[in-house]
Amino acid sequence: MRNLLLFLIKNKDHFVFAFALFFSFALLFNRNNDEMSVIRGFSSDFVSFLSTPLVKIKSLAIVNEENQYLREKNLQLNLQLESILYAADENKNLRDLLDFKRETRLKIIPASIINKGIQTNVKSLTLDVGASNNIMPNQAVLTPDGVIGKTVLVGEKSSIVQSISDNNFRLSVRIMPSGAVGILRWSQDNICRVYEVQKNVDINIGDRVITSGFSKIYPEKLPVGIVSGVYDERGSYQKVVNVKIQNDFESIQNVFVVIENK
Amino acid sequence: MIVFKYIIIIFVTFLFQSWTSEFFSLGTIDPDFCLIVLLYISIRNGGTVGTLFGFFIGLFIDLSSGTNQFFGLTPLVYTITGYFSAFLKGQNEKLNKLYFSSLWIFIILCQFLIFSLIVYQQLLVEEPAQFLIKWLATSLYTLVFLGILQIMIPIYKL
Repeated sequence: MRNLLLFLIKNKDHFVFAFALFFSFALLFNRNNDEMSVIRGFSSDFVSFLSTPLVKIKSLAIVNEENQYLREKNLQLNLQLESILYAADENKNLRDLLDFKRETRLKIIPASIINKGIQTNVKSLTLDVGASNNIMPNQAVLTPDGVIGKTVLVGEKSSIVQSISDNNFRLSVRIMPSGAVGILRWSQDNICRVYEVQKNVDINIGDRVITSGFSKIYPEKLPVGIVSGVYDERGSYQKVVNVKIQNDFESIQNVFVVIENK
Repeated sequence: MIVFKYIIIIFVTFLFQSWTSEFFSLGTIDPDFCLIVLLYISIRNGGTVGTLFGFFIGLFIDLSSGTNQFFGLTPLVYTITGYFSAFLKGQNEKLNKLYFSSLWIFIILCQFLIFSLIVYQQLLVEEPAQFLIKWLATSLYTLVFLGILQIMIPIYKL
């Protein structure tokens, strides 16, 4: 027994090697064993726990770089989005203009606004059409949403429009369905006021306001706006009607000029 | 106490391997730091320690690797490496430096060859040249790190 023990101790390297080989082969040939899968699952959890700090360190190391990249990407996407939204708006506006041109019985020509407010004493717009396009002074300028002004000065290739938002602009309008007529002038923030409306006429908020046709400049039944308020004028037989203009003067880009009224 | 010492070494080596291999990897080739530690321990401490160290660090690697296909292969090859490297214990006094170094290089090449023959057996059949490149690349990359270590801790002087 003692000799066996001495033999084992003397050759322990070889025995350990033999046992290790045996176990290695055993593992290799029993790799699909269910019990082995349980042990491996447990060890996998343990290793993932050990790896967590490294993952955090790595994520910290790349967070700056990633942040910079995301900022650039964000800027690019924002610019793209703005461009797409602008194109979508422009597309919608142009479609509206096209529909209006198709449906109207007036002889109109399209124009683009190339400048706004070039004259200090008049709220004006500059159009890219002029005498060469049969534009003359005192022609109505409108969009599908309604009247926005009239031409006042005409050059060869451009013309200046007095805007409805100018204090000196006047427009004869009719309020529907009552049929009451009055004179419209600008008040503030897309709100105009219609004066000289008879007090006994029934006018309600939401009524449509159109051109009366009394003027030689503006054909009748062109849209102007919607009634947003009605006030009695004290000591007078008339009432004042607030009208909300549908056009947004800040964003208008394309208009039509009525070159023939009949 | 000695057992604890080796458990800690296994643990630290494994952590170092798993945390830095990605940093040092060249494409699909990673340096095998576990093998480097195993070589040092076997040559310094002899067969029993080397064999057991190889077996357990191999087992630890296989348990963590997640792949089921060759489970048990790493303990097997590390056991063999540990066992045969241990024969170099004390041989630095008998053999000259060149022979001594050639022997541990040979052991490492054999270790990677056995590993590659089993893991890349399909590559060996289909594209022997690619197999050769794979084997030599993995071996030589680990040997490069071992070579660098020779400047600081020469195996010959263990």
